[in-house]
Amino acid sequence: MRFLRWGPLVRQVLLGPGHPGHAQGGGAGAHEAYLRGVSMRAEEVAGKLREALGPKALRLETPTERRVFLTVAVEDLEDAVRAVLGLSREARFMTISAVDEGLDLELLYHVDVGGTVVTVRIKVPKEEMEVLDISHLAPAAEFIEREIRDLFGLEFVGLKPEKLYTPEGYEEKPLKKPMEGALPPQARPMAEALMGSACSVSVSRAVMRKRQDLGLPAMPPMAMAKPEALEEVRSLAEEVGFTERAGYDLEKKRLRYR
Amino acid sequence: MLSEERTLFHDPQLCSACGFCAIVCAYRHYGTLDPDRGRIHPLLSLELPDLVAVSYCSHCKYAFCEAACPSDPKAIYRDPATGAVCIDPIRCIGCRSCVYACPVSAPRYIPELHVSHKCDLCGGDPLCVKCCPTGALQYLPRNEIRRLVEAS
Amino acid sequence: MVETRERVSVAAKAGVFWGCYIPALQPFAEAAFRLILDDLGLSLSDVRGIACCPSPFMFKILDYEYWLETARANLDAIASDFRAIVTLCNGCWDSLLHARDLVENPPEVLHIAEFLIGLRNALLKRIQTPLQNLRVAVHVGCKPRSKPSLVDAIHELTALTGARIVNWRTAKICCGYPLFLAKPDEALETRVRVKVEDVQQVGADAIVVVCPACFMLLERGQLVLRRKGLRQTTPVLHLVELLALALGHKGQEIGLDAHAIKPKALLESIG
Repeated sequence: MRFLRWGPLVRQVLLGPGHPGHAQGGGAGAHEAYLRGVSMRAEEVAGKLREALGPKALRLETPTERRVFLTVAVEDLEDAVRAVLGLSREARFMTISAVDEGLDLELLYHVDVGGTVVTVRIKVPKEEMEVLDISHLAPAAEFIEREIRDLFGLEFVGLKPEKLYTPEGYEEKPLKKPMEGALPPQARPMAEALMGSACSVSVSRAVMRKRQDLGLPAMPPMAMAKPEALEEVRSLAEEVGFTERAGYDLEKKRLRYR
Repeated sequence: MLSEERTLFHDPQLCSACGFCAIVCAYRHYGTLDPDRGRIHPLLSLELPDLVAVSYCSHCKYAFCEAACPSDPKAIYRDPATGAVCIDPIRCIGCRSCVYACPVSAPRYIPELHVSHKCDLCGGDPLCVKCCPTGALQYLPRNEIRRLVEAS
Repeated sequence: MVETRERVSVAAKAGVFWGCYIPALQPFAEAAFRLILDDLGLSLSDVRGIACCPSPFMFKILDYEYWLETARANLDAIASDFRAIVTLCNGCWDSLLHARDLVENPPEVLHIAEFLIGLRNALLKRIQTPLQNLRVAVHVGCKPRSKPSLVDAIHELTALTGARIVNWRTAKICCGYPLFLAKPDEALETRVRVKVEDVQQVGADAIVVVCPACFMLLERGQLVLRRKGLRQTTPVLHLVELLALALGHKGQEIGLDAHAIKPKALLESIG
């Protein structure tokens, strides 16, 4: 328990004497009083961020009164971090958490704004594996970015190339998971066929020949080839969140992994 | 004391042992298609193919598994909303007491996770019942089940 | 007189939802059903939804809501054009039947056996070659088991052809299709092998099914199992193929030689 008593000392070293955060014989009570004086509540932070970022703030959540989650697109990361750091003179970059979600790598940039923790959340698709380095905004980010690069293989554009953790010549990324979505391997062809041709079975030349031999029209009487129908199938899948969970790329018309 | 509380009911006459209930359960809870991971287990016996047994949890009023659980506080608790007897994987110590205590071994032990798991009624809307192709699995009030069993 | 009235009431605004397995993988069943319709003098139009039903087994596992939503949209797209929809597949029947509860003014969704049993008099009159020498094992499949009248209808239609229905112990056991999606080897060993060996023991000439998934598992499964010690194979027939044979069509006409297991002995026994 002794280290607890270093708190005031640490604060004095970090913030300088005479700073309101500096314990003036008051212990925890004084610290609380200090936080009340300088901190912003989550709602206030969220309001300011919404104002600063506009539509770039894809989602703003305030689960408790000292916690804010801000979701932005990968390309808006710099603006978002700049806005969060600009919230207050007290804003302090804490760390980055990286979570491998299979298809995407989630990065959480935690910033302490006078007692309220603001987290900027981005999702980097594993196809790209590249994100902007923010150490020009928050120099402390350099260490954790190098750590994430060593462990997950995520490249930070603009970061100095030296390794932090893993030895030279060791190129494995120990925390990186294989790129796989929620669909089990057996289900992938059928899901792809339904999204691609609105039917679980694809029609090959051999099938058509077989049908003609039987005196049937070559093209089966199935629902397909109608673009607007296919569009509806896909939009339904998107609506219920199937495409996102399964990792289906609506533009490339295939699953993101295979 | 039979209540309006609902629980699973399986009709062995209708069941065709397709194993779909176990597969949907495994995918819902563990993201795999392996039916052995499911929390409901169809048992096909070739001596008696007419009656397919299914081992599943009936969420007993006085649950043996709950009584047998040695961890403190108990890892097995009753969900107040659905009346389901559930295992909290955080509290479970993987001792398998519940597996031995249950007359039908409805809880099962997962060696990889070192905990036991059992049916949680999917929070009141069991997927196995919705997906059962023959209608052998149903989600019915207990007094209704009692009536059906006595009638048969 | 009864017959013509029957014909008219059914033919009005009825259509066939062919599904995907039958037209693409088992066109002989499509050919057989079209011949039956011709013989009865009915013309049903093809129903084209926005998608296939979609496959209830795989998509119920992956995402129940998506499956139901797509089935609903599918039925919604065709609801205004048809009074009744006939399906040749247990899966399509299941999907569209579930979707019926979610659509306004839904059309009647009929299983192939439900549709044909309504025409039993017309069929009976036209049966030219009763298949008296044939002993068949009827495999109903999972979904129709939830509706006892449908199970009876399937058996009655089979009996209509003159074929003798054998009793077999494993009749109600699933073909193994759902398990096949997860564990193919186990499905073949514990379902297909058990069923096929039972059928052979009671001496049936063919297995009659009403669902393309059952057909696929029982037929293709036997080919795989033959490499693993299955001594003998038994042909598998769709109910509509059996009916087409009884109506006097030749095996060639309905493409019986396109089956993976050629029902040669069976055709000889018919003569």
